[in-house]
Amino acid sequence: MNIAFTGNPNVGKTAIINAIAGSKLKVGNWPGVTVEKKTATFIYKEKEITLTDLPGVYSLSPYTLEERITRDFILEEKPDCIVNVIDSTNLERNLYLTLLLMEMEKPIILAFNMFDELKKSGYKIDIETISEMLGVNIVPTTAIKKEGLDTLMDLAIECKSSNQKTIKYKLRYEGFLEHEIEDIIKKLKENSINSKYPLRWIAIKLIEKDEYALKKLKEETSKDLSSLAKENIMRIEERFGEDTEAVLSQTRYGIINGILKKTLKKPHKTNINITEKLDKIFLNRLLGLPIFFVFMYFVFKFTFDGSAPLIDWIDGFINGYLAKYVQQAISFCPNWLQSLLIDGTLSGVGLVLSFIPLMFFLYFFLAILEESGYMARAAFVMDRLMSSLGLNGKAFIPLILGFGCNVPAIYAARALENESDRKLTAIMVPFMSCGARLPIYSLFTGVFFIHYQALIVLSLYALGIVVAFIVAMFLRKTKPFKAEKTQLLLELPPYRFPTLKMLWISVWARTRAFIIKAGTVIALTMVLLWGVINLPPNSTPQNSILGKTARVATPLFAPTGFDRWEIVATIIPGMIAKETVVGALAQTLNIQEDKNNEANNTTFIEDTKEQIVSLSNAIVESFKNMFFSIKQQTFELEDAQDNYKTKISSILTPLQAYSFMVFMLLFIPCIVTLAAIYQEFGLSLVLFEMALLTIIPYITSTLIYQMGKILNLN
Amino acid sequence: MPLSMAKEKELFKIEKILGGNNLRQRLSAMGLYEGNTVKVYSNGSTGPIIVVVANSKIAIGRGMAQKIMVTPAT
Repeated sequence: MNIAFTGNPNVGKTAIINAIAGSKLKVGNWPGVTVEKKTATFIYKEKEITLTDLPGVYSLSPYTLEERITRDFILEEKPDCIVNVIDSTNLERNLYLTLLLMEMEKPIILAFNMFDELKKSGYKIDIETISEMLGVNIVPTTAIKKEGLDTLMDLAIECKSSNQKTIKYKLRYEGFLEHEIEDIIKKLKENSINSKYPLRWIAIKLIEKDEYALKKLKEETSKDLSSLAKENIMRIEERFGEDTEAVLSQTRYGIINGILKKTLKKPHKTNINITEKLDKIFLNRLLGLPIFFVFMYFVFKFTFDGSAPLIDWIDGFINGYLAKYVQQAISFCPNWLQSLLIDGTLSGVGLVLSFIPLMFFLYFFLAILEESGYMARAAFVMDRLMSSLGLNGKAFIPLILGFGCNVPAIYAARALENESDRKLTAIMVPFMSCGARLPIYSLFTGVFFIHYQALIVLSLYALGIVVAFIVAMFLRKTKPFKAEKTQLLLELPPYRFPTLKMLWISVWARTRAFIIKAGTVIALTMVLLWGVINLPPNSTPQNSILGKTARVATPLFAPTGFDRWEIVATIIPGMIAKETVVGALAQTLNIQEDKNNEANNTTFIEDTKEQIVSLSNAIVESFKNMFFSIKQQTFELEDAQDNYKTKISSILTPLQAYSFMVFMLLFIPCIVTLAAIYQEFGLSLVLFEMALLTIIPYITSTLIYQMGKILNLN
Repeated sequence: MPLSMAKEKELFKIEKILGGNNLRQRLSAMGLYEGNTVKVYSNGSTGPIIVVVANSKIAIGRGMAQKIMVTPAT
């Protein structure tokens, strides 16, 4: 059977679902959009249950994506039971959604969550009377203590049979209004409108002038019902002197307040709680912004410096240790097959795996910000600054993370409320110069701009930001990214301590989704690109498919200045990951890197021991980086090796080198970023990005090179 | 007067919400409906303002707050 969970944001719905479904939880997206969809299938009391977590919403109007998803799911998928999770400490507003859900006349039960908080703060509540007055079952729950969850599940299983009849009769609105609703129902019947939707719900939507419902009804019945309730609307507006939807929402709140007056006794005095104390600091007009930046610094530092030693270890484990023994095991195979398996497949898998620490750390710290309630404050604090750029306050977080790595930054765009903001932010992220682009800058500035290294690198970072904002400003004016100037409207929920278990479940579910969805794309692309670089078998860099293509394509790059095939050929490996550019350059320029082959003399046991030691070292290192080091390691420049210097400076001028660095800054960052965009936004945005991230660097490099030539900077 | 001009720490009754169906439905679902009383938690000279309504804090963009007409409540 299907059970759907719904409720306002910040009511502990995730905690309930995590406690019930736990490790069975799968994270994905709703079709075609970036709204997170969580589902789980499991056996409970010999019944197969499919649990769906609907997005957190306040109402079921058709105006936001989340609300449309919730509404459509309930009406079209017809879950066997809707579990409406409610924050017991905020019944007035939470029950508003309940009334909207009940209008849809589907089997529903209520979970009064955070029940312990309500009792602790001195409220007295009569749940039985509320249940009686609404005509639905109510279960008090405290998700973090796992209280009431068994009862909730037991009732959810029986919910269809036990209260389907009652819901239809219990909920009635104010006399005059209800009379008009009945009149519309009569008209619907007279016009023999047969709909899969309940008639009373249709009548209410007609009164509310809900265009989305009208459209759906027209599709279903091929009748335009927009004028059916015209007279009723006029009568209601005349009687109450207000718009019909205002009348309806006031009626609903009237019912809720009537129920609460009878059933809820407030304590005499409310004590100042932790939320009030913290908000005095975090929302302070002077301190708010600096505190936000401090938090951002720590998220950045923890994510990148904390994960770096582990990433290095995974890299060494796969490409050093595993590759060595796989090679030994398959040494009987022809060389090209060995190379395909090791350089193509294994290193592709290694690339995916090496992102796990990063994703894990990022999701962990983002989850803390999100679950603790601080994220909403961050949006508030940043709103003033970012809205002047036409962006949501929360967009700041993904953009900042982008300087460390674009991949987690793409996933961080999830935190934004609306779809077009999420897309636009994801498009801006690749222009943020990530850590992997630094080795390229190190090499070229080391060769050409040794005295101004830091300044040149800084200019590239700045250029990336400028280009990102120009692109965003242009795209905002085009149709797919146009947002009705969205004004901030955001609940600042009470601060709550996220439990470790809860964090673990959501972090693991999301990391797993990354491995499966993005991982497949990455591994496949790696094999494909291996072919481009290494085929035909036993080819040198010059006569491989890559080398030949580069030679043909080189004249195209004449306007950018770096029209040398040795340079152009590194663009394709640069798509895999920017880290590979320097290595690829060594190949095309025939530079011998000093390799030490001493490792070959060690035995399997020695190697294994060494891997275990280095893993524990990496863990220690990760902790040290996070807590005992102030230095930010993501932005460190390394020295360029001497053997590159002569060769590169013989084929490029400083201006051409700068033009190439600009190209690499703005070009497709890596296939993992593309895979992340694919996972989050689908193929169409990936294709758009690929086009954008090819055209823009080409134009920018050309502009810079040509202008530089005019100014005689060559 | 619009909510954007309301004084901090004081109570106000919502008289009228100007604007379309969309805005009004979103606001009323969050407890900001005509006839209800809100407390202004913070209102600087620029940026969003924060109100307390039905036990929760809600940040509202300044532009939106200009469309919410209120009168002082005692």
